[in-house]
Amino acid sequence: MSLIEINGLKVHYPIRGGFWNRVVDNVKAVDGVTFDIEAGETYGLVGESGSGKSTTAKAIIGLEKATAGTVMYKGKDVTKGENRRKLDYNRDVQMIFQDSLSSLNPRKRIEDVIAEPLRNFEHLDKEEEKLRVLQLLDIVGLDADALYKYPHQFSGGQRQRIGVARAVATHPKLIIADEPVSALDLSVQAQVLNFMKKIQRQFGISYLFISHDLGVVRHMCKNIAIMTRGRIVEVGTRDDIYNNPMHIYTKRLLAAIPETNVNHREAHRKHRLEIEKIYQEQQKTYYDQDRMAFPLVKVSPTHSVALPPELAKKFEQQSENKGVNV
Amino acid sequence: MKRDIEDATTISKADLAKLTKEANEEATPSRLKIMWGEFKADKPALVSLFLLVFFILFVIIASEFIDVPKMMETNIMGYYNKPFTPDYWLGADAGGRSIVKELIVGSRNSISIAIGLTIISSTFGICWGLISGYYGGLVDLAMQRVYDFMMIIPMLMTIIVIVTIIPHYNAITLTLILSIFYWMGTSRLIRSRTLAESQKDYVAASKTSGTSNFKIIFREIMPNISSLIIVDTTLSFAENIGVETGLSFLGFGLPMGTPSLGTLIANANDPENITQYWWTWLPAAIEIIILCLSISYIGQVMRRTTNAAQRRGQDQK
Amino acid sequence: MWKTILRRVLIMIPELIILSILVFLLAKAMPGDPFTGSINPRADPAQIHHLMAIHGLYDPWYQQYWNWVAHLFHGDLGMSYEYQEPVVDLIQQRGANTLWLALFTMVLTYGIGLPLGMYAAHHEGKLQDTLVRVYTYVTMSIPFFVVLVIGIWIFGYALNWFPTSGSVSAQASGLGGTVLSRLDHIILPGLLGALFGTVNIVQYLRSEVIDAKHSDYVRTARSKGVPMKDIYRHHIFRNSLLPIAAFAGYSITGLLGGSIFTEMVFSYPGMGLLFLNAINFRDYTVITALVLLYGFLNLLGTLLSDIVLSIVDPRVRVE
Repeated sequence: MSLIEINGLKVHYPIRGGFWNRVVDNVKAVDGVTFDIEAGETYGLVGESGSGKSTTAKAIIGLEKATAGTVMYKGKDVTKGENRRKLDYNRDVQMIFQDSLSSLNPRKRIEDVIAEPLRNFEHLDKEEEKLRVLQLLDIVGLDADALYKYPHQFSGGQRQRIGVARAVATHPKLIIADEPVSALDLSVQAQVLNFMKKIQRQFGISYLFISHDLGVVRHMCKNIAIMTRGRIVEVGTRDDIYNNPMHIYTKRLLAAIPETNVNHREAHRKHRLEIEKIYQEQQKTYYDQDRMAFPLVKVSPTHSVALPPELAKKFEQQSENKGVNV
Repeated sequence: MKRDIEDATTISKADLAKLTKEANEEATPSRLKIMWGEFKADKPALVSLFLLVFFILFVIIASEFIDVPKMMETNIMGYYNKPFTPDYWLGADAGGRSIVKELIVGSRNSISIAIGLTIISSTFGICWGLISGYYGGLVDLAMQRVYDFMMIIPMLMTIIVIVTIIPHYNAITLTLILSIFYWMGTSRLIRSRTLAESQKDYVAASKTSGTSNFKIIFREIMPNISSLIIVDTTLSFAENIGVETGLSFLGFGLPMGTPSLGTLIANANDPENITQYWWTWLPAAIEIIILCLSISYIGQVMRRTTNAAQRRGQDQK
Repeated sequence: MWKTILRRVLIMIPELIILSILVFLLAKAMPGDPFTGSINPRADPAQIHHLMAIHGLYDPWYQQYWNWVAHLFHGDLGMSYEYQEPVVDLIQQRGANTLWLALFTMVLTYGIGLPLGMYAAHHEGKLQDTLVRVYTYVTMSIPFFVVLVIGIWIFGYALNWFPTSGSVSAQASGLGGTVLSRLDHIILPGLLGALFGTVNIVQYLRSEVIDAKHSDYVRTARSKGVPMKDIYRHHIFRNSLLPIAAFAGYSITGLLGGSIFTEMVFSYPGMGLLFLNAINFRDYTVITALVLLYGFLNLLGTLLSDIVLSIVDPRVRVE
């Protein structure tokens, strides 16, 4: 059984309008997202800004109310507040935020910041608590003198590591990392990511790693889902996504990764333009009349793609011929 | 599971004392401490704060030595006694009552009511603003409707009507009645700041850390707007001095026989008093002006020091 | 746009109903009735009883309320027991006085506040700015009634520049004379109200203009070579003046509240003084009418400001 199973998750925001302020339409921030996260793995959720990946994360952790669908954890649907409370859900599932400054209360000293989840879930005595905070600081590579300082006295990378320490404090099973490094300098990004990896190895934590940076995702994640306009368009292993992308959106995203090798600059540019041309041509076939992605179709045991209906049919026949399980 | 964290680090119980000492050496003073430091640096503000506290303590203690019912008795011998005489330092009013004594007791009454009003109405306004701003949505909508309604009520008239309805009231009931009508300004200010604060990630982080809404509102958000609260409360204190005294001036404040700065100034409503017997009302008027100016001066300096503290806080980055 | 306005007006209705119930119940709760003793101390109790019954004072409160509202809709606010005159007439006479004073005060307030705010912003950080800040700090801090008392003492009694009571002098003759005499009576209270009520306008305008001065769009305009004078005229003022104009509606609340003090100190026969007298005589048809009227005017003022602001600032409309 997976650690956490997200099934048909929807988060819609009503648009009110008209004279009586009735609900006239919905913004479908997340519209039927399904995926599982296994224990100890890092699951990547990729998409451009506004694609609904952050909303998905917030719905999973309980910061946003799910309109429909379930998030199953230990056999209970944690989209319901009472179940979250019963399970001490937030002890097991924690979050790291994109903006490290905003995510640490500017009026609290680091000791109180890191101890906050401990105080809510573990009820240690003063000495034990301080010791635990010091140990956590050590784990993320910060000295004891950080204890009585305020968040603004640290650099972005240090703050993000404090955020990691807070998330790890209750020894959670899953940490949702919402663009944890995208606000950091490139030089610091790797440092924070490596701390996260080290902690994962030591404690066997799962990550739901949300990013728009495909390079970072490749470094971190085993399984990856690509999201656009509230729906997942392609799910697969790292290999599936990077070496065999099938949805035009994924292809376009991959083509947009900057190439560092200057020698192939022209070739890369040509490739990118080609993909863009194909994207513009096939946009109509890959999205339905509402510009939403189609349902996912399994193209290999690990790889699912939101293919248009005609293509999907072809694939089903092919796979039946080959005898692949669908 | 505690095991894991201990395995991953070399820090153990033995290091605790040493590390705590290290941390203490590097400890940063809190923002309020910085603010106080900045305030202390402003000598005029410090002097006015000192004088204000001294004055308030003086009138409270001195009025304990004054027999109020006896003081309020009419004394024909002192009828409009001129000021600067041994028995009547500041003269006497139409009832032959000593202005100095009335001033002292009246200041005690008026200042106490202003303090009470500030504490009650600010506390209420702060809670209202925090809750309305934090929860948002329907809660906020309903609370805003109440706020809107309170804003259209003709405050002064309604208070006067209520005061005439209630047969027996004293300083405490008066303070409570006034508090019903003077929380809106604070609540609006606090609400708009809370709305902005609630959007920040640290609130989300507290929620995912399992902290209750109540704690988030009062332990996480409130400290972040504490400087705003301090400044606003000081300024409302200056404003509130005018509330009860104004009502007493109109004749609807403290009941008869309870002197207030307002009733003293009300002596000026008599054309004869205002021209010939200036000492019956002018000292009270000047006292109110000085009080209000110095309190709001302290408030202004506090506003400046909070900004300075903020700047200094950011400089340390 | 029209939908926003209409919805805003609809929200008013329940507010008005609640306000009227509140006002009515408050008046009912007032001690004593208007007949006992106030007409004739030797009046026959049976006769008073009869009068009370005629005026429906023994009916249950909701019925009395309903009668009252029904009469309101016919423009009938009842009779003043004290003046033995229809309340509507009383309010018309006194209301005109209050209205003139309020209008005059408002014109002066803007006349003083706008140039002062701009002046301060223009000289941001210099001595002139500091002086304006000291001025706003002083006027903001001192309770208004103290200002009125000191004002009438110095300029009314001691210097004898202005009349100290009434709304128009008895000797005034002819249209011109009446107008001049009226003006003479409202100059001092109006000026004091304006000088000490202009803080909000000055502070708001100052900070708006300073914000605008440092904004990117002004910097862009400057870098294009637009003269600073034109920037002020086309960008800064246009953006900051309209919201300020909209504040006029909100300031009605303050003006009306202040009118009670002003009219008391200057013995100016307006609605505020009428109210104070009515309270002293338990003349509760007048009291209810005035409280309701003031509430209604507050409501209209906020409505007006909200509408103007929503036209000026599209962000308000969306909300």
